[in-house]
Amino acid sequence: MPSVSSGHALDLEKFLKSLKGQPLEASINSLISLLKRRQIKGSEPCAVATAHILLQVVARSKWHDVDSLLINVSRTGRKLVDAQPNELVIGNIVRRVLGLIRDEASEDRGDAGDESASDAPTPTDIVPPAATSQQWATRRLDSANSAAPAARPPIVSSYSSINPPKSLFHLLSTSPPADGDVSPFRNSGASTPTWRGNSSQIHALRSEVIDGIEEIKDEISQVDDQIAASAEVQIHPGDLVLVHQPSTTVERFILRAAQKRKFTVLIAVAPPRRHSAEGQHATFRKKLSAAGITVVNVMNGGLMAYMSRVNKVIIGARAIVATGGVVADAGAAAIARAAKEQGTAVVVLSGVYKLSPESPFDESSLIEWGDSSTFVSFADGPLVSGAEIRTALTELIQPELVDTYITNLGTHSRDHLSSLISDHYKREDADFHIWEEAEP
Amino acid sequence: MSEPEAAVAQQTTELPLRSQPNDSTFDIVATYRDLLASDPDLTKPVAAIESLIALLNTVPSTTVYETLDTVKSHSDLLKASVDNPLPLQAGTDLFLQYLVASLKQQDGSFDAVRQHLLRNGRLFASRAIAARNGIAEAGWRFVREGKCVLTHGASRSVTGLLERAAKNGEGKFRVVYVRDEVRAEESDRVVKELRSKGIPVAEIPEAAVAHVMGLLRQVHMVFTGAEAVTQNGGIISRIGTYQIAKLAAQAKIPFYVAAETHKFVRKFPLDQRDIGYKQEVLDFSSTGPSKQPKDAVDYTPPELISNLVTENGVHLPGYVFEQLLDIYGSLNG
Repeated sequence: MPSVSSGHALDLEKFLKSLKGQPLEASINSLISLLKRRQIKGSEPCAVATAHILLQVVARSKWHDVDSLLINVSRTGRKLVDAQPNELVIGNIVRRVLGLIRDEASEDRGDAGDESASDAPTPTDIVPPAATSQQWATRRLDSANSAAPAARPPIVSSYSSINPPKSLFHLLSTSPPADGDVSPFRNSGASTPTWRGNSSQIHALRSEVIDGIEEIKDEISQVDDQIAASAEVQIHPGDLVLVHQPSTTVERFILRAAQKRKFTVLIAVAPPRRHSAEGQHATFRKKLSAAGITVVNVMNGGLMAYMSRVNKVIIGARAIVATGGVVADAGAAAIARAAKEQGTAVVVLSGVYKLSPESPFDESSLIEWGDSSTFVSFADGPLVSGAEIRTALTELIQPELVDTYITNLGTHSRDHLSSLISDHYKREDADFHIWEEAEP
Repeated sequence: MSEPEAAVAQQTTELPLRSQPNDSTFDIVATYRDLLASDPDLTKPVAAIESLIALLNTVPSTTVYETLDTVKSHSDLLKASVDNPLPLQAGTDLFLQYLVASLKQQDGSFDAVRQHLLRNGRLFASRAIAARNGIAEAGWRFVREGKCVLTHGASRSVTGLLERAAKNGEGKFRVVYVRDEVRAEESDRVVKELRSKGIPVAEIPEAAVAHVMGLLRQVHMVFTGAEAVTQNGGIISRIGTYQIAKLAAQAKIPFYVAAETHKFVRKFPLDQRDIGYKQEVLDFSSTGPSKQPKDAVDYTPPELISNLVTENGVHLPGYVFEQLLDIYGSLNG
């Protein structure tokens, strides 16, 4: 269920409360186990928790220059990503924070436009020492997961995609031949001599980065409101709008439109599960009815029958990958395909923080598998031992099936996503989770 | 790696600007062919750029506009000398635009720009080769364990990418290579190269592509190179690419193109008739066998391309348009 049930919200709250009283290591470890146990789940809670823990890393971990801060943040980030690789938002927030640190560091030195890279240090002196990585590896709590990083292949080649040129002119540009083989810590490394030991500068950087993370947190909390602002443009009077298992974002969007417009909402619900409460999305239905909107629940099965009358399909994204593919609740892809078949517009709602710069190299790794006991009672011995029952919680909607993406920054087409990505993430951070994989 | 004489000259001499002031004797076409022949790693656009640098080396530095004119006229000469001018145009346009743009930026310090270009000829070539490694780095993660890649032609970007994926230690993917019997030697070479890296390769004739793609889940993706990437995100590539792309789209198999960004060219082909030059594939004859053009190409429209894999990462076909607009300001070739 995308809408956060009270138990999970409680876990997030509890975790956020515990942050102050605990040492940093303990907080990180407790977040990792919360993520692994899916006690914090869903894009927004994961994003909020990640932002909080990174703020703690910036505020409380030991660092004496920009490089060590970047290393601290990326290490913590990697542990979180490993704990729950399905939640792409975790990686997104880590990349945002890394980019923020780079920006602040280069501003402080008064050379915002350091694209020339003329003072780049040699890559060898800024590679994180193997000793610390080793130490970190042994610190892991959950030994069962320690096999996971090994599955990801190490980067061997000298030319990494970390710091590639942007413009076509790069081929002929004036920068020295040092390019093409640069560490991700390039920008900050240039500052090393002046930075080390200068506590006032470090203090200033620390508070600036913390401010920046606070801004990211604000952004996450305002996303739903900002997306809802375009509701009136998208939903017209008399429309028949189909939503699929509405998340809070989608609910806010529909309710905003309901303030001014009269339309009909079809809610496609998942097939009923055991233990599930009677009447799915009951509170949402009540609010809509109060606003005078007709609401119809439809079973996810016979959607093609309704689709010819539907004007718009609205889907809340869990994450969007770089190609425009949308990770959404299972069942959404079938709806999107049915809509495409009938020429119905498919609108995806998502905060920019859910837009990931990762390409879906392996689609199957994005799918989250759920608890099949919601369908089959564990007491049903013959079935439990005789059949394998799987239930996918998410699936990838192919980008061809999506017409419009609405984010907190406005309405976008698929081709525009790449510029959103380059606005929000730094290229050198795109692969932060595999930087250190050369280690044994 | 043997270097052409011109490049050696411009690298070693400190100020070779006015060494050979006779414009008329410089043969840009011969220079271009020498460059291509001497260095098998060079791509056509980069060879064109290198030839133009060699040209700058020989003409006296007079006025800016005269130089630009010389560059333009020699670019045209160069393009006229080959069948398919598009790959060259990618290089010559980029070079000319770079000249103009840097003159605008640097308050007309023409000599500085010239010297930069003359001294760094080899650097540009090595950057272009680094770009190919960048493609491999950006795209090899598509080729995962258990996957099967279909490819054809002899694109160095594609073989580089596959070798990079094989180096990953897993080496558990397979390759279906579409043989070109007209170029049996080239096909043999590519297959041998891939097999030497421990990649299992199945060779199939071109006629079997549809059948093989129809064997469900046997081919997971298609990787191909490109001679030029057009501004709408399509590609001009070895003939046969278009039909493979169509069959892949039909079979819902992702079609990836590995190409360096310096192959982006300001050309908007409308269909197969509009590939930028006259190509006679149809040779009707009632007396003898039909003749085929030597390096025939076809045009694959962007709708059939899933992603472009460039040294700047994996992008949608629309990326080409953005990049070209970024440096040219307008798209009227």
